[in-house]
Amino acid sequence: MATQDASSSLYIADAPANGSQTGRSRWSEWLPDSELLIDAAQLRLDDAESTPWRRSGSFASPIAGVRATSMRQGIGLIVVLALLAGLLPFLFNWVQAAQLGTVVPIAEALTGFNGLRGPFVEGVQPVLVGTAENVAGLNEFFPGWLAAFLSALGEWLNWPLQWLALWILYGLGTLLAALAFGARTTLQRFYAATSFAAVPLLLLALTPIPCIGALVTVVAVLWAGAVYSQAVQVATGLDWARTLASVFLPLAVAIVASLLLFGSLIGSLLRLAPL
Amino acid sequence: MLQPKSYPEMIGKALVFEAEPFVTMVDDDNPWTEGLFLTVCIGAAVGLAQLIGGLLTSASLPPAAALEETLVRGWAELQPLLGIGAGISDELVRQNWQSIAPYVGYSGWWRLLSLFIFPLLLTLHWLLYGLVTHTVARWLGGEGTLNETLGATALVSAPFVLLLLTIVPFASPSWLLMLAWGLLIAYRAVEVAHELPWRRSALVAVVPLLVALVLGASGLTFSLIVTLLA
Repeated sequence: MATQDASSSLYIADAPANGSQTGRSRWSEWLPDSELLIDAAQLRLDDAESTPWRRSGSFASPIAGVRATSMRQGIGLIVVLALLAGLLPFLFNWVQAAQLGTVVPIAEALTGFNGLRGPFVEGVQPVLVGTAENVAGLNEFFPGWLAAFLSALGEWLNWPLQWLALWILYGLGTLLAALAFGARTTLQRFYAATSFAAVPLLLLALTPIPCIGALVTVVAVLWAGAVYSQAVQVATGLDWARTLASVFLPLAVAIVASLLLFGSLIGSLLRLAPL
Repeated sequence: MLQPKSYPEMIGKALVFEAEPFVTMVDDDNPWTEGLFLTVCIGAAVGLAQLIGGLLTSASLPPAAALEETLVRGWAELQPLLGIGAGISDELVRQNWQSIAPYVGYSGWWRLLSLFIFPLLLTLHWLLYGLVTHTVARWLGGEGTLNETLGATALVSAPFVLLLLTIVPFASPSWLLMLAWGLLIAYRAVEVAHELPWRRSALVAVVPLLVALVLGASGLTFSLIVTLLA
């Protein structure tokens, strides 16, 4: 079923409302085609134009590929990938916190204090570690393993929430910039396309592994940035110069705003400090 | 009157900016009543989730009094290392603990108020948003009635269903996410209810946020001035 968007004259091909009509499972209503995920990871989102009919052939429309992805499928993709990426950290956090018999934030604080190094913290580090150990040793109403499980579960649920926040908030800034540069797109098409940037972020599942965790994070973020840029270009139809300007403008604004806020806070503190 | 069992589907479709739920609310025989019921239902569900989540969080954390004493003892050991005098600093730690404790899971019996406060706040948020957007939309040439606008803008509460996840301790949806998502839903609501072009709809949707920011900044400035003068 295609719907006419009020903000443009272009038709958007929606995902089938009833998966059974096309012989596919209900998962297809909530997740994009797996071929599209592979295309996204290979930075081939713009190949949809040369292959109007996908192998699945489930959409009765000449517009296929990423442009046939619905925003609902985008949300499903982000939530599922975030939960998968957060699964290993969840298990790691649960085991670590359960071993200490406390909740994850206290366990993380203890781990952080244990890892403090440097001349400025030599004296205070043992006190911080001792205090954190005392806090971790306090008894909760729930058994330690249950408190650890609930807190680890909450931290796991924060993964899709944070990814959704980044997708919506950063997407809003990028979309506004793209519209200012003359893009013609809709909210649904833009967000559906940019949801594919979550595919490379699946690598963040490896962050608990020592040594390679930091490297994996850098690779995943850069890869996701490349996919996001291509998705914005496909969704908006802008040239690459304007696409990259749209993608990086919100980041630049956020950095400048943070610097101004930090600078004003430091200035206020210096003015308030006794001479 | 819509059946409450249709609310999850409407909320889901509103979150992905489909026109259908907004059209359904606008075409209802009494949109503002429908909007009020939807908003209160969301608020009540979230209030209940926060109550249960708060109880589970308290049961997962150490007792507040024991934690306070442990932190005070730790601070007492840190003071000589940091060159800070004793006595007054202990009281400062306790006062700071009393201030932050409700926000880290120790809200005590106050969490029962979430059952009433959250639906009330969400309803006030909806009414103010609806009234302001209707006024601005009509000024910019919109054709919807106040009743229709209130019905459509009730779906601005849809992103707050993410707060249902707070039933799990330490799960924390971003308020900025909910406000931004609500802003986008408000844009669709105005577009459908008032049949305005997208630029005017976007402007109408942003105005309540700007009004809130101005009022908030004014209130903060006023309180700072009063504090300094005192």
